Amino acid sequence: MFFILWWTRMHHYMYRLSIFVTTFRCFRITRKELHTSLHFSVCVSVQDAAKATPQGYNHKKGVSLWTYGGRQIITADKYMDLMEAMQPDWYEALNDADPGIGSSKKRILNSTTSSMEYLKQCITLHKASQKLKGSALFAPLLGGRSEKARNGWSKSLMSTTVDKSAISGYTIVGLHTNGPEVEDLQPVNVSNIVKASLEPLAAELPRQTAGMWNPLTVLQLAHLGVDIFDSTFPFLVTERRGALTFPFRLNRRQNDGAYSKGSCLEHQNKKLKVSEDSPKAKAEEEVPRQDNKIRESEDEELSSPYEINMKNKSNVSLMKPLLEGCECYTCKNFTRAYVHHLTIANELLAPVLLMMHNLHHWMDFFSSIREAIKTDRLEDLQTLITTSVFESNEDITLS
Amino acid sequence: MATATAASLPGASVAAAAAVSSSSSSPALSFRILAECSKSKARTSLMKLPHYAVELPMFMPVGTQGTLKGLLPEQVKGAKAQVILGNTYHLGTRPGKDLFQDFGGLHKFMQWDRALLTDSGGFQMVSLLDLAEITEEGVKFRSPYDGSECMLTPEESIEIQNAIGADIMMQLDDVVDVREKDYERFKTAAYRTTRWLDRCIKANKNPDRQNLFPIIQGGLFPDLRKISLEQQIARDAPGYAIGGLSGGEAKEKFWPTVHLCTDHLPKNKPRYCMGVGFAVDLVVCCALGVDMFDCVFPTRTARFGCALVDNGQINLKARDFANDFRPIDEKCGCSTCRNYSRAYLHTIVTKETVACHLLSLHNVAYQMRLMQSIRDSIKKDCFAEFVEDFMAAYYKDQEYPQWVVDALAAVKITLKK
Repeated sequence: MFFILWWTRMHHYMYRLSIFVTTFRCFRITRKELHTSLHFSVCVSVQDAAKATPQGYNHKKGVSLWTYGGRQIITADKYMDLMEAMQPDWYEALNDADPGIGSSKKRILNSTTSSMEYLKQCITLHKASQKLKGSALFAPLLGGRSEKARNGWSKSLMSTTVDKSAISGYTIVGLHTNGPEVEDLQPVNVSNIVKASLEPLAAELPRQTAGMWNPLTVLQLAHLGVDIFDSTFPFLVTERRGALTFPFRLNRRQNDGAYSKGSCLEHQNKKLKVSEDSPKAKAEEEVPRQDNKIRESEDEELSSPYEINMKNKSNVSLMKPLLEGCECYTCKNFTRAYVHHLTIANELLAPVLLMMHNLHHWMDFFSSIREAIKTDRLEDLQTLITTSVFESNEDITLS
Repeated sequence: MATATAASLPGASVAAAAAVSSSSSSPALSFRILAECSKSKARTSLMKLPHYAVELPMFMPVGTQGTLKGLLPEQVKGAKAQVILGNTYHLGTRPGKDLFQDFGGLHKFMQWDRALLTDSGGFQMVSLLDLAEITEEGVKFRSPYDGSECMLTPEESIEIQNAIGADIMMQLDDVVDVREKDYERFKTAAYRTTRWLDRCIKANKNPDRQNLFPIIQGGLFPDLRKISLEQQIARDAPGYAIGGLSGGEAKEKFWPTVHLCTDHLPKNKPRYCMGVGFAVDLVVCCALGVDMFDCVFPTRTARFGCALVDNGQINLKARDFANDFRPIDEKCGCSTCRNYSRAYLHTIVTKETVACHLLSLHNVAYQMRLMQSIRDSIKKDCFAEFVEDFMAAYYKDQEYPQWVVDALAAVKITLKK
C-alpha cells in the first residue's frame, strides 16, 4: 500500500492537494510546468474531493465540472484533450459518480450506463494517444450506495466488454459527493459497499479513493484493500484552523512513549457523548453513524476529536508546539501562541504553518499504517486511535 | 580620533574631522559610511544593530502583525530582507505587551533573527480610528473592541515597544495629515513632538539594546522643519526619521522637504524616510541622502495580483499573460521567478492564496535587489549613471516627471532627454 499526493498549484508549501479539471487554459500547460519543482507523481481526478459536488447536473451530454469561470459540461473527447495537455502520471476515466445517499435505482442505472460509455471512449482515446503513452488510466468503481449495482459494475469491468489491457488501477467513486460532510462517514457506512466493489476485481491493480475520510474510516478502507488516499482531510482541517493531534504510533509496549493514551490530547471542542435520553441522541438514531463526532452548532467552531482548534483562546500564551514530539517544521520552530495569534489576526501564514503540520502528521499516519499492515497490527492501530481519541470502551472491530 | 602628534600635521585636522563625521556610535547602534557618491548626497553605509549588521541604503518590508503576508521567515531572509517592520498598534492590541514580556520579545515569537523596527502606533491610530483625538497627554481614542476610552501616551508606546524588543523603536509623534492647511497645527505638532520625544527617551528601559529614533515634523513648511530639526538633533539620537510625508502630498513639495532635512541631519547617522516605497521615490531619496525606507506597497500590491518590474508593475490578471511563459523577470533570482511562469501565475492570481505568497516573495526580492544595485553603484561611484539608466528604463520615451528632474538636478544628477 502506498500514499501518493495529488498536487495542484505546485508550491513548496502547498495548500490544496488535488488536481482537477478547471479551465480550458489547462490546454497550454506543458508537462514540464506541471512537474516543475516536484519530486512526486501527479494524478488527476474528475471532481475536487474537498468541495461538495452539486447533484443533478450530469446527463447524457456530459459531466458537469465547476470551474473558476462557471459550470462546464465535459464530454469524454474534451476530457481526454485535457488529459493530453496535462500528461499526468495517472488519471481516472471520466465518470458520472453522481448518485448520493438515497438515489433511485433509475438514477444509479443512468449513471452506470453513462459512465460505461465514457470509460469505453476514454480507453479508445487513451490507447490511440501518443501524448498519453507515459500516463496510466484508472477505471472508476461506482454504483451509488447499492451493493448490487456496485458488484455488477465491477463484474462488467472484468468481463470481455471492457478492454482491460488499458486499465492500470481503480478509483472508488460515488461513495459520497465530496466536500466536508464526508468526514461524518464511519467505517460501518462504507464497509459493505466497498467490499461489493472490490470483490470481483483482480487483486494486483492498485485501488484509490479520494475524500475527507476520517482516520478511522481510512483504516477501515485500508483493511478492505484500498491502496491510495488523498489529503482532503488534513486540508479541510487546516481550512477550519485545526491542528491534527490524534496518535498513531504503535509502540513495542503499549504504555510508554509520547503517544500513549491520554497524552498530548486536548480537544477543547470535544463533546463526545450525548446522553441517551436527549432528543438529539434519539434523532441521530435514524442516521447510520456512530455517535463519536458531533457537528457543532453553526455559531461555534467546527472541529473533531482528531484535532485542536487554533482559534481557541486557551492557546493564547502557550509556549509549547502544536503537538509535543512532532518533528514538522511548524512544531520545531513555532509555538501554539504564535499560530493562535496568526489565526485570530487572519494572517495568511496561519494556514501555511497548519498545513505543513497537518500534512506531516497525515504522512506519518500512513507510515504507521504501512508498518501496522506489515506486522499484522492494523487492529492495534485502530484500537489506539479509538481509545485515545474517543475514550470509548466499546469493542469496535474491523469488519 | 586625532592624537596630539597627528593633529600637528598639515591637513590632519581636516582628515580627522572627516573621519569623525563619517561614523557614529551609540550603545545599540554603530554607523559607518563606506562610500559616497561624488555628485549627489547618496552614500552607502554599515549600521550595526543588536540583531543584525545592516547595509544601507535599505528598504524594510512591513510585517504588520508579526508576519509578512504568508511568508516563512526563511523565505523572507531568502529574499534578502535585513530589517522588517512591525506595527505597535496592532501588536500592542494583540497579542499585547504582556505576552511579549513573557515570551522575550517579537524576534522569538515570530522566529525572525535579523533586525526589527517598530513604529510608535500613533499613525495607525490617527488613520484607522474614527475618534482619535490628540491631546498633550497622548492620543485619546475609543477601543475598537469595547468602545471604551483609551489613551496612548509616549510612555505607553515605549512600554509596548520595549516589550516587543525591536532593534529600533520610533518615538510617538504628533503626526498631522500633510494636506492640512492650518500652519498653527503644524507648529503645535512640531513642538509637541519634541516634548513627546523627551518623554519617550525617559521611558525607554532598554537604551543598551533598543534604539529610539526621533521623528522630524513640520509639514511642508521649511521654517517649521528647521525648528523641528534643531530641537530633535539636539537630543543626540542614534538616528533620525523624516516623518509627516508620503501622505498624498504633491511630489513637488515632497522632495524639497526631504532635501532640506537631509541637509541638516547629521551625516554620520542614519536617516529614515517613513512610508516611501515606489522604486522611483526610493532612487530619488537615496540621491537626496536617505538611508532607510519602509512601505506596505510591495506586499499590498501582491495581494491584487501585481508584480514589480523595472518599469513599474505588471498586473498578472490581464489576459496578455495567459500564454506568457517567461518568468516575471528574467533577471530576478527569487524562487518565484526561478520556478513559475507568468502564465501559471495568471491562472491562479486572486483565486488561490498561494499566488499572494509567490508575488509577495517576488516583490520583496525586487525591492531588495533594487537597493543592492543602489549600494553597489555608490561603492563603485557610478550611482549617477545608475540613476540615469534606471530612469530611462522606467520612463518610456524619457517622459520624466518634472519633480524627478528637479530633485535630481538639485544634487547634480542630470537626466538627459
